Amino acid sequence: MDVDASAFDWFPLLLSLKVAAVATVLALVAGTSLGFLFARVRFIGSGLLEAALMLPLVLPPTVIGYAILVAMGRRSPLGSWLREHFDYTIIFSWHGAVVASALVALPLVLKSASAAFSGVDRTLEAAARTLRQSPWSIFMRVTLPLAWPGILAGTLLAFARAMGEFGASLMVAGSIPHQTQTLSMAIYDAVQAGQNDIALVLVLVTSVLSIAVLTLANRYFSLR
Amino acid sequence: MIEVDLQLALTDGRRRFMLAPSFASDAQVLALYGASGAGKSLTLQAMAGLLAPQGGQVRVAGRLLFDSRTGVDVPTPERSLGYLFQHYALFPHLSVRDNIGFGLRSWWRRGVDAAGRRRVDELLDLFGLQSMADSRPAVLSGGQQQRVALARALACEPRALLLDEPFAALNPMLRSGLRNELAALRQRLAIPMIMVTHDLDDLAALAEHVFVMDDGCVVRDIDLRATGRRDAGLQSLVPEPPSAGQRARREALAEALSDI
Repeated sequence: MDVDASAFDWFPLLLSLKVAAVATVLALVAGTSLGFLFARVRFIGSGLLEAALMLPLVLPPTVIGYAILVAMGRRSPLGSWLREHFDYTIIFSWHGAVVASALVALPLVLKSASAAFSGVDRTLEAAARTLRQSPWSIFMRVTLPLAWPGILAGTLLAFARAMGEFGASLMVAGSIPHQTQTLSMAIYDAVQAGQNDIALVLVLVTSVLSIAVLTLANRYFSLR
Repeated sequence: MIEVDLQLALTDGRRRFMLAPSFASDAQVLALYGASGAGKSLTLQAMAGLLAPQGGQVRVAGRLLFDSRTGVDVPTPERSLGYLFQHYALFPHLSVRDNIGFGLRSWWRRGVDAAGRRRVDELLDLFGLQSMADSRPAVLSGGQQQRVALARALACEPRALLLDEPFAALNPMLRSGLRNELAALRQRLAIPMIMVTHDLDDLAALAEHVFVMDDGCVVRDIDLRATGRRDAGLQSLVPEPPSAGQRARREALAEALSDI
C-alpha cells in the first residue's frame, strides 16, 4: 500500500461526522418528542402515523431520495418558495445529506424512545404528583431520567446509521468532492475510479468508527 | 376531621365498577377494611386526586379538596396528603436521601435548601436510615424501603397520611414490629391517618374507627373508641368459623392429599 498519511483526504470523514452529528441531533429531538407522544397519548391514526415514520427503515434509499426531491426539490412548492425568498436549496448542499440522514435515523430513536417511555412505572409518576411536583417537573426528574438509557442507546444506533447513509444523500446532495462528498460516497467514487488503495483506507476508517459506536450502544442497552 | 362522600364509575371496557364510599370521622386513625376488589385503594387514590370522581365531596383536616357541586378540585400536588403506596414507589435512580428530600424542591433547583436538608437529616435519624442515606432503594430490605417511603411522605409536612396496605408487601415476621413503630409515630404526629388494609391485626394494633367496604360502598361503620367496644368491635369483624360440613370436606381433602 503506497498511500501516505499527508496525502490522505480528511474531508469526507469530517463531512460525514458533521452530517451525522447534525442529523442525529434532529432525530433525537424529534424522535424523543414523538416517542413520548406515542407512548402516552392515544389518538386516532397514531398507529398509521407511527408506521409512516418507521418507513425509512425499510424503504430503498432511492425511494427516500426521490421523496425528498419531490418534497423539497427545485420544482416543488416548498423548494421553489425557499429559493425565491431565501436563495436557499438543499439540493447539491450538505444540508440535503443531513435531511436524508435524519430521515433514516429517526425511526431508530423513535422506537427506542417509545419503548423507554412505556417502560417507566406510572406509579412512580403518581408518587411524584403526591410530592408536589408539576407535570414538567415529573417529566424532568422522573420520566426522562428513567427513560434516558434506552433513548441514548437508540441515539447511538441512529448516529451509526446516519454515518452510513448513502443512496438518498447521493440523490439529493450529489457527490461533489470537498463540498458534499461523504465517506460512503468517497468509497463509491474511489472504487468507480479504480483507486482501490484509497477505497480500502476509507473502508477501514468507516468500519473502525462504526464498531466503536456499536460497542458503546451495546453497553447502554445492557445497562438497562 | 375526614369527610368523604364520592361517586366514581370505572370501566375497563367490559365491566363496570361503581365506587361510592361515604364515611366521616374525627378519629386520628381511620381504617378502610375489606376484601380485595372492594374499592379501598381506589377510594384512597380518589382522595389524593389521582382519580377524578364524577360527583361528591372530599374534606380532609378542615380543607375542602373536592366538591363537584361548586367545582372545587384541588390538584394532587397541592392537596398536601402524604401517600404511602403499597409497593412504596421509591425512585430507583435516586439515593435514599434524595428520595426523602424529593418533594422539597422542584426540577429547576439544583439542591434542597438548608432547612430542607435539616429536615431530611431529622427523618433519616427518626427512621434509623442514616447508614444507608446514600444507597439506592434496590439494595434495601422491604422494611427499610417502607421506612424510606414513609419518611419521604412526611418530609413535605402533609396534613394527613394515606397508607395503602402498609404492611402487605412485608414478610409476616416484620409486621408486628413495624406496626408498633407506626403506632409510636401516630403519637408523635398530630395528623390523621387513613389506612387501607385487609388484615385484622393491622386494625387491632392501630385503628380507631373502621369502615368496612364491600363492592365499592361502606357497609359497616365501627367506632372502636367507645369504651368497652374495642374488643367486641374487632371480634365482629372476624370471619365466621367454617361450618361442620365445610370442616368435614376440609378434613377429607387433607387426608386424600396426605396419601399422595
